[in-house]
Amino acid sequence: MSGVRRLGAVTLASRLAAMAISLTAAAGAFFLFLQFGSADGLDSMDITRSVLILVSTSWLAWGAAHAILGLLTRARRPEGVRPNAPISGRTVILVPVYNEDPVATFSRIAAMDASLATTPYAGLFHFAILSDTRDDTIAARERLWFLRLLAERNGEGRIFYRRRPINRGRKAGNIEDFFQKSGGAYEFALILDADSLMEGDTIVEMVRRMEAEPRLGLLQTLPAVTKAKARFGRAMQFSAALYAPSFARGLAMMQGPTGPFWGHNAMVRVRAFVESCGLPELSGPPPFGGPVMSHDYVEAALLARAGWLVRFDDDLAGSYEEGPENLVDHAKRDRRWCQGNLQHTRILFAPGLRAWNRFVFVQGIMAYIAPLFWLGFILASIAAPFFVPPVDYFPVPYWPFPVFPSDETWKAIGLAVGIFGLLFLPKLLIGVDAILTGRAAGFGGPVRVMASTLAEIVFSSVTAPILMAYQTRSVLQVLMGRDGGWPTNNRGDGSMTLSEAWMASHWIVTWGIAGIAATYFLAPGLVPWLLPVALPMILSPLVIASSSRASRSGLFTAPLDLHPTPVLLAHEAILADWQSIPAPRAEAPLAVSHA
Amino acid sequence: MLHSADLLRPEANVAASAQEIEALVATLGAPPAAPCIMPKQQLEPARAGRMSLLRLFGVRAPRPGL
Repeated sequence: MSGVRRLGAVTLASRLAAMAISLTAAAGAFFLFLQFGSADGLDSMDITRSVLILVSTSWLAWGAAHAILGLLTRARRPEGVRPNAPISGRTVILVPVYNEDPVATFSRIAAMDASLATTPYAGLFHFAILSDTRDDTIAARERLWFLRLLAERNGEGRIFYRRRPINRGRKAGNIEDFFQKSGGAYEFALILDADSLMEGDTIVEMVRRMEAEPRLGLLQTLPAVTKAKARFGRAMQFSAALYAPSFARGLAMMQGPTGPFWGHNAMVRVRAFVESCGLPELSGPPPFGGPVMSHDYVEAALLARAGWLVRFDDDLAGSYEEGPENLVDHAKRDRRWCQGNLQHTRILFAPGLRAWNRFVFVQGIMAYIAPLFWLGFILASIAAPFFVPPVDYFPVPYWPFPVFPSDETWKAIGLAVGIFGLLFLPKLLIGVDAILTGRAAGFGGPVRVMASTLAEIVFSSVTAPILMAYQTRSVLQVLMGRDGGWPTNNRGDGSMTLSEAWMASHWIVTWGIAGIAATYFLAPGLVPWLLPVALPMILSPLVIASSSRASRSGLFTAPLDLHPTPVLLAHEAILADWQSIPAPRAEAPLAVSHA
Repeated sequence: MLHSADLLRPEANVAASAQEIEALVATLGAPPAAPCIMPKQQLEPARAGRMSLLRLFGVRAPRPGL
């Protein structure tokens, strides 16, 4: 593959526009705060806080720029792909599992297999369940449900299952192991997560696009979040359905040939992947050494380094995943991602990477350290009164009248409005755009989509300080060398009692109370400014428990609630059927025999 | 000993031992053997002294077979 490729005009213009928006907003915030802070005399703390505001605002504005760019264009089918063109590439659909419920996971495979069977190309596709399950009881269930899956789908010779004795290299190592032993049998591989679900037509279309562009090494879809039941899960599902397409469109405009890989719901060209993506263990112990945790970003960078196109086609529908149902599960997943992204500091200077891929690594790192900048700003603001120089009321020699410092409070208020604008305006604009384009109908109509948008803004404002606390703790743990390991994902309804929520968040309550008390004694004028952060922290057990309960509201309606697609309906039916009948064989004796 | 045709007869599974099921799954579940070499890539800069802006942003890493 050619190692050199020129960026398109749209890509370049999009990147420059996003950077211009980000830098302009950051510079404006910096100077506004500097004027506000220096009204009573410029001191070192004013400069520190202005720099912290500059970094934080540039990050916020960068995110807002994605949405603004995304609203300017619409997702389009790529050129050069003939609709309904026949396909011929043999494709394996990889389903890595790690201590998952086999009934839920294998019923998704049955649904996808049934969906593929409605296309003329079912014979081209195989499934491979790649088990890294360490729990012998779950592994025994996997074997039994695999036999049921084979029997029900008549899948012998098409649906495979293997379990690794040692899960070296975690998920990336699991996939690598498959390619090393069986990769030569396939042209393409669709990489899924245990909770992924895709329409057969979408999978066929992905192969069609891979065949239409021989330089394409990886094709990523935007998975829609489905099946959320709890209030937290439904808010996330709604925001993913309404906002994510616009943010993703902005990203698609900027990516050029160096698109993202999010680890699942993506198709790779096997030859490209095996040639370019063999991941070594990083030197030294975890969290910064050892296996590459967030392997997907690295694999995308390696494919681009080898000259392959990595593309994100945001027009592809029919791609689904499930999300965490409560805030604590979200924070647990985020802890893993935090470690993975901070580990990328070791790869930032890997030889030959494209500049955009290095920038993507920086973005990932920034996503996790940004809360530290806000925390630093809050702490510096509490400490600032101790750094203020004495006010000189007679700065002009021989002038008999005192000169009072100008009141610059309006600038601080203006800055706060601007920062909240960067946070909320993109969401409101996307809501308005949904009404104007008719997309709101999928969300229950114009009134409901705006009500849901406003409710989501309030909800995310309440949960943001709690998530900031979890993220800050994650970053500090990683920096102190604590490895988070590879915890199993919690799936299911995710409901938490108040005492469970308290156990998971009592330290946040302590931080919140300590923070507001320190502010009251050291800088009482800041108390009203800090309340929106401190109050949710103090009430975090209530927020966590209450948001984990099942939602009975019409708010946060998403299009898939109103119009579930065929594969979602098929999965519901198969899952209900499998859950209503006894397990293929009594499970307890098996567990004993494997103990 | 279970045979793949026994899949359609649930009573066969009920009577089977855990070892028989494990052996059956190992046989039926085995993906096709078609080995591929997946060379390890260089992710960390080799030596600080050899790192340069040219290596960082310009020169591509060596790619096996190309």
